[in-house]
Formats: sequence, structure tokens, C-alpha cells
Amino acid sequence: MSLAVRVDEATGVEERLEHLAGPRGLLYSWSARPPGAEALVVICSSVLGDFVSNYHRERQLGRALAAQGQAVIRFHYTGEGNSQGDRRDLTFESMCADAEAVLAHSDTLSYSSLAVVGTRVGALVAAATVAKSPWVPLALWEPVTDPARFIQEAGRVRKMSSLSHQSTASPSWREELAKHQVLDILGYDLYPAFVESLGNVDLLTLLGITSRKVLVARFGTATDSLESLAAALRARGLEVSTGSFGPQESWWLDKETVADSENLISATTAWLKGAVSSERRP
Amino acid sequence: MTYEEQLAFFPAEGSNLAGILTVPSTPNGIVVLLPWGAGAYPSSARNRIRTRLARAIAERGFYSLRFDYEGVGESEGEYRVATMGNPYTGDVLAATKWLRNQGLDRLMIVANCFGAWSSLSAAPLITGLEGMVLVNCPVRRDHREANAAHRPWRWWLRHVRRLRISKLRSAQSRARYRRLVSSKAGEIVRIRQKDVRFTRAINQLIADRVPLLLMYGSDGFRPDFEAELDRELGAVLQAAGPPTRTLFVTERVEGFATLASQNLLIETVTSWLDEVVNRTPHPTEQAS
Repeated sequence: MSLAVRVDEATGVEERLEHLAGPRGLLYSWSARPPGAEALVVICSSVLGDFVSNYHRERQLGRALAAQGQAVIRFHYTGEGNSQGDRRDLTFESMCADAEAVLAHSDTLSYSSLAVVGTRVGALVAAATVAKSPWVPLALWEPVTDPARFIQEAGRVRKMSSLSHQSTASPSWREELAKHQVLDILGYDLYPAFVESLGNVDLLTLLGITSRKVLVARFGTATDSLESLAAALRARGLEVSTGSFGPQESWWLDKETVADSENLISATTAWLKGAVSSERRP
Repeated sequence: MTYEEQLAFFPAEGSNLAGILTVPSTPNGIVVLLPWGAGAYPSSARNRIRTRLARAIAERGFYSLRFDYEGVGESEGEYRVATMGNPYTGDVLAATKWLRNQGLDRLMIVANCFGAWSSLSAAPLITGLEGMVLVNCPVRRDHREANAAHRPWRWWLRHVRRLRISKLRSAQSRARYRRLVSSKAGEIVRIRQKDVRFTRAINQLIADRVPLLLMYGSDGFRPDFEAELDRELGAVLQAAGPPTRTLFVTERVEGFATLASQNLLIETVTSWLDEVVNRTPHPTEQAS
């Protein structure tokens, strides 16, 4: 277990790089603790290409939340980023178990309010992890509502890549995954355990029927899917806010530029500030 | 487990950087600094390649430090777009200084892309460097310039149409466009801009007897590097002899966008580090 701490002289915010104990090894985490903070926001990232593509936005969100006086924890799942563990063992269940370990750690910090942010597949993890705590507000960035489509999208990206670099067509992703027990999606390794673990997961079921406050943020300008998701959630009693923020993200492709996320960050921090002030730990 | 990892914040010019020191269970006394490309990514990089590399070389006894540049990951500050004229030299030097403060004086560098360019720029200020691996190191122009040179006229026409006068108000933007146009023009008339920074830095490292591995794939900056080899650099590298060498691989190494290229990197770096350590025992080791 390792811990590094620095305190910003101007703001008094304490930043920590810390190994947290997870069920399958040490989890790499970054946290910020502003003086006098009452609320804590836990950020559940996605994995694979999404994890890398969205990392800078999550960094910006973490810093923006700390600047407005809220404590934040970001972490890497077992088998992802700088945490211990092997990618072969990464599953939806292992991601949820890691998030639960981080939430258990956050309980020891005695903040009066808690909110969770989930991005892409991390939205499913966030929803599953706080399923029994309807008082916890959830902010979901570009949530993966249907994991089967997430996997299909990865398969399409792989096909496009192989078409642009090879003269012959490659077999379908299902055939290749079955044959080699790993799929190369633009340099990200996708294993059967992860694909199978997402089989029966869906966001609506995980969110259940509660009066929870939820923010759903979509990247890009298309609002059709956003409105239909919001309607489905409202029908289940959830208090839903929505927003679309450009530009659209191409999740599996690396970019050297940093997308302008100012509107997304400011809308999310403002929503979280309002949501945690009205929802306290019971 | 053959290693443990220590998390750290360390000071750089006006900010604090975040890093992870991988400590092998049986150390050989050498630390490998891992400066990577310039994207705003986690220090683990794509598909954890930097994490996996750090842990693989720890099995051979090497310490390593992977870190976030200023404004990236868990480091302090604002993200700065990489340009050839403004490499992250200060961040690389700050990392080496911190390592020395930890008592790790025997240093090697394994750097990729813009991290390699930044390391080349920092190298003259690093004493006692014992080896350097430069993967897909830019030679005279960055990705945008290299790509722009090979874009078809249709692409250029589309971008000229989109160009707004407001974009040309900043001197930085004007310089950027000037470099893109100059890169394309150079490609047409087959005249390459004279830029001696890369060759001069490599020559100096060879003069200082620092073992080098220059690795290029089938993509990225390979054409620019081959052009330098055709001039005088090829002869200089050949004269240096093993373990200094160039390595051309058929894989695409830009961004390590295939699992095969990632595995190749880990195998290549691991065996080259072993080769260097076994060929050139450090004077302090001989004394002991």
C-alpha cells in the first residue's frame, strides 16, 4: 500500500495518490479533499478505449468539483490502468466489487453526502453499486444502456481498422474471440470473461424503480436516444435531468487533441452541487 | 509478486507531477525512466502498455518511473499541446532529479514518440545516462506536419475552405499553419527542411558513449528517420556498434494500436536492457 499527499497552498485542497485495498489487489486512486467539504463524489470510469478517451474529462471534473468544495475519488479497476490485476480477469462483477470497495473506503471518511458519477460502462457499475441506496444522486455520462451494442461497436471498429490495414477481410469478432480467446480492438485486449459478464446487464433494470436523482449527459447533438432514455427513467419514478454536450466522441480512437468539455463539466458540477445538498446520508 | 509500486508527487517547474515508481523485489540498481507520448491519457497509456512494461522490466531487476506530464492525469497544471519547438524537457528533468533524490543514480530512458523527443532534448542535461531507447521518435516534424505532407489535395482544399481569419490572429496558429504548408511544399519539391536538432542530439549521445536503440515501425516517423540515415547518421550509428542499433519492425508502432506491437515493444526493450547491462558493467559494480 502506498500513499502520496500534497496540499495546495492557495486552496488548501489535499490531493492523494493512494492504493486502496480491493477484493483482487490494490486499486490505484486519486482523491481531493477540500477543507470543510461535506459531500464526496466517487467517479466510476469506463474501461478499455473509453477509459483512455475519457480520462482527461474525468480529471477535469475531479478538479472542478474540488474547486467548488466537494471531495472526489477517482480510481482504476483491477486489471485496468495502474491498478494491480490481469485484464483477463476483468468482468462487470469485478468492476462492481472494486467500486464497492471504494465506496466502503469512502464511508470511513465521514462525509455527510455522497454522489456517484459513471461514464459509459462505468454508468452500469455506478448504478449497480448504489442500487440499495436510492438517496445517492447519479450523474451518468454517455451511459452504455445496452452492453451488447457496446461490444458490437467494438467489433465494428475492429473491422474498420482491419479493412484499412489489410487487403483481406478478417473473420467476425465472435469467431475470432472464440478461436483466440482474445480480441484486438485497436490495441485494446477484449477477453471472453468481460464480454460474457455484460450479457444480462442493462441500465434500466439496474436503476430500478426509485425516486433517485439522475443526470444523463450525452456527447454530441443527437437527442433522440437521450429523450427516450429519460422518458423510460421518468416512467420508473426517477427524477431525471438531461443535457447534450458536443462534440461527439469516437471512443476507441486515440486523439492527440483535448476536446472542449467546459460546458459538460460546468453542467455536471452545478447539478451535483444541487443534488448532494438536498440528499443526505440517512 | 516481483515488484511493489510507490506513488509520488514530485516538484517540476511551477507545478507538481504525479508518478509511480516500480520497485523490483531483486533490484539491479538501475532505474528506467518512461516518458511517453503527448496525449492527455493516464500514465498507464493505451491498454496499460506503460504499466505492463514497468512490471515486465521489474522482473529483470529494473526500477522504473512512469509519470504524468504537467496538466495530464494526476499531475498539477494545465494541459499543453505538444510542439517540436517546445518539448516537455522540464518534466523529464524534474523526474530524473527526483529519482536521484531517491538514491537512484544509474539511469536509462525508454521513451516513445513525443516523450522520446522531449528526452532527446533533456539528455545533454542528464549526467551519467547509461542507455536510451527511442521508439518512433520525431525527427524534424510532428504528427500533424508529417500527416499533412501526405494528405491529398482534396483534404487541403476542404481545410482551406474551413479556415477563418479569426484563427490566424494568434501567432501560434499562424506558425502552426506555416509549418503545415511548408511540410507539404517540401514533400512536393522533394526538399526537406534543414533541422539538425535530432541528428545533433544523437551524435552527442554517441560521442558520450550512451548505448542507443532507435526503433521505428512501418508507420509514424520512419520516412523522416530513414532520410537522416541516408545522410550521415547511418554511418555514425553503424560506427557506434552494438548495443547501439536501429531496429525497423513491420508492426505499426504509432500509438501501439495493435496487441502485437505492444508485445513486441515489451520483448524488445526487455532484451535490449539485458544486453546493455550484461555488456557494460558499471565501474561501481566492478569496484564492488
